Amino acid sequence: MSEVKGGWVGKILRVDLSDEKIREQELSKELAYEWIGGRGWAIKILWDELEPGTDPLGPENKLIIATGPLTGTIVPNSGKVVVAAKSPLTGGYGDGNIGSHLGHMLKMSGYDAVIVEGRAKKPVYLWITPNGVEIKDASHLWGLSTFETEIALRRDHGNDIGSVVIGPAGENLVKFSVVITEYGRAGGRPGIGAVFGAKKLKAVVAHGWEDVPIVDIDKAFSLSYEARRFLMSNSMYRKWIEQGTMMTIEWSQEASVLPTYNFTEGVFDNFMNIGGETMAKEYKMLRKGCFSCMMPCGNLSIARFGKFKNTWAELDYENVGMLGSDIGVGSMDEVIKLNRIADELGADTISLGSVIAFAIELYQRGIISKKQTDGLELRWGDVDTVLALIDKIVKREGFGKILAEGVKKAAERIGGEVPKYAIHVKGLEVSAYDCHAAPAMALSYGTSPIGAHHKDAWVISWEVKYGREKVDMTKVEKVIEFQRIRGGLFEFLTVCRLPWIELGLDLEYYVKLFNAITGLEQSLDNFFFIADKIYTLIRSFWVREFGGWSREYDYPPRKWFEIPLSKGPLAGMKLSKEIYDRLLDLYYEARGWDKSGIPRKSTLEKFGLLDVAEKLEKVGVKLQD
Amino acid sequence: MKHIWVDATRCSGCKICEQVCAKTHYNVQNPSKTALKINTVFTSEKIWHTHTVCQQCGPDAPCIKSCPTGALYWKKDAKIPHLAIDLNKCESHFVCVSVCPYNAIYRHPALSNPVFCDLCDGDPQCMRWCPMGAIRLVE
Repeated sequence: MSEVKGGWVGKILRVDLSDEKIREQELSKELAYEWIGGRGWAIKILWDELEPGTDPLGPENKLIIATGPLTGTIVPNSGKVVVAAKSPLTGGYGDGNIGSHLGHMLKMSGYDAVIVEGRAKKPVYLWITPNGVEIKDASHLWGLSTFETEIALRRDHGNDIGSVVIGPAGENLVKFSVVITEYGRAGGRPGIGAVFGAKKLKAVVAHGWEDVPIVDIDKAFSLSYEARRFLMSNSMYRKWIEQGTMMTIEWSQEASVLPTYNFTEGVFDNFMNIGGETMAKEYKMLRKGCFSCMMPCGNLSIARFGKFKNTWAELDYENVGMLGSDIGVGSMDEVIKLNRIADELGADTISLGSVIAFAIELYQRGIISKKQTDGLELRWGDVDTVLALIDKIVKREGFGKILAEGVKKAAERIGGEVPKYAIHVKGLEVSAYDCHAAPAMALSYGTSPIGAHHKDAWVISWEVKYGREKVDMTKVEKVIEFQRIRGGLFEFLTVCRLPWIELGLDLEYYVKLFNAITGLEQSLDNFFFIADKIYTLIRSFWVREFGGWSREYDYPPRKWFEIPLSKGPLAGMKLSKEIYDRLLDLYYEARGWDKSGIPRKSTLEKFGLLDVAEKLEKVGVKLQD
Repeated sequence: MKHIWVDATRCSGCKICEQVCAKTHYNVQNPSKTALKINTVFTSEKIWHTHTVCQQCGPDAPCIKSCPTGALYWKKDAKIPHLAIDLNKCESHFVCVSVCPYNAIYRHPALSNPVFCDLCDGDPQCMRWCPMGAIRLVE
């Protein structure tokens, strides 16, 4: 028996699809106390168990689905799971955090995490209950959209299940395919869907009914009720549940950071049509929240006009920015259609928007022609061509096959000056904030541990208030603080960050809840130490996989340095390389990494990671003291 | 009779009510031991939050009438009258589960007694907790 008392249920499920072996292992005290859960477990397991140079789409790659000690409990917004693997899109560490009902179902089935190894001979899915774990035939599901798959799974197993599934994009190994849960919630941007696909794993499904152990259940509930009252008393609460993240469209327009025409501009003429106000008044039909969610951000919206009438999809800021303004689409009905298609196919809306915008820009600049695009005339905002292109990408046909590799590889393939138009960091496409005039947000994208993603240090709104033009240590400290909290604390406790970031719920609540639930005594400082340790191990993973490191890997897209904005209040602005380098130097120093971004030996030692140092040296990485 | 009703246009499907229900009645973290079940139902065209909960049929409810040991009874002297159970009498026949016209009494694999809504003896905790204000008492 595992020694953990509450929060964690104490078991990890390990499934080898190659030889169909199902094993249970005890959750060790070390893994629980030192790495907490979620992202902490994912990087620890991937570092320990993957050989350097593992093929992300080979059977040796491992897929981690991890909950945390607070996941699936009464803690506000605790319905999260982390899905992770070595990324086929970037070649480095890849993870995603998905709001779902899978987390509590896994825990109620008796498991904190699932590790999937090997590769099945034919399509399968995992069916997990307290009565046992089965590798089930998924031949009848292979080829189906994510929506069809979830409907079929519920027909067989009842409606009360938690699931993550992949669609045709994941099956066809599109490098930016994601997993989808409950009809339109996605996770695992760095191609976790393709890792599922490569393993011939269509879905992971759980239905549990066992109690989740909690040391002080009265306290956990009373603290959560307090938190609930605090959240609901916030004057922004009502607007939040009406619009969720969609209100960011209007904010981004005003701040001139709304990605437009492949991050060429920060303002979009038709932003009102795709904004939060319009959605809330005219398109939203239903709220959808994850497990225990007090701030449901799932805006189920239904198209009302034109040929896509009655199509519904779940809208969030990032999806609408990237499959809206960034590709020049200024109609909510069309944005809904594009989001629905992306979710059905299981392609990441952000990266999909980015590769399409990239292709349209190349076409509009005359760098590519109909010859390369298989006859498609690519124009901004032309939804029919975009749909045709999406079809090609997901089927990996012709031009679509190049784009299915993500913008970085597509740009390298086309060659010449084209990489200048590829908007990514480390191969992961940038999510929906333009940083021509936001050096701290650019640094946040540059140093995010999975490539350019907003999940970790979303400092943009702070930076706009603080002063974009400023270059100082405060900005670097803010990036690190946010990485600790958003990329660390919330990722290893595996709960949603929105109550804290949007409505100001004090972080001490999470410490108190953690202590009540697990019966341990943790402090915020200790959590931050663990967060920094996780960051350092993730960086070590990248360094190991890349056989060294260059600070250029931590640079934002070239476009922000080279092509200034031409519209809006910030016209003429671009990012300064000199300033960025200065911020990056300060960042490395604060993290205890050397000038090229490799953790110093002393830093590894501080975190008790000397074995990591040894392994890095073994593969020829020179570590500074 | 007054019973719980969930407004699907407000509900988000978060299952906080289910957790609170199980905590109130069994002092556990386990939404599957709930008397109020929220089901988010999808077809390719539609998505909707549905709910199942005891309709508080009254003293002549089929569950009460069919209980072979007389364990189920109508508690009329509570703040709000509601279905109740005498656990000393329940022998786990679960006839109530099969006769309920609303499928609102459940059998849980780990419990020897049926799970149903007793309106928390007049102070429904699901209503108190629902952040969306979706849960109401209706006649």
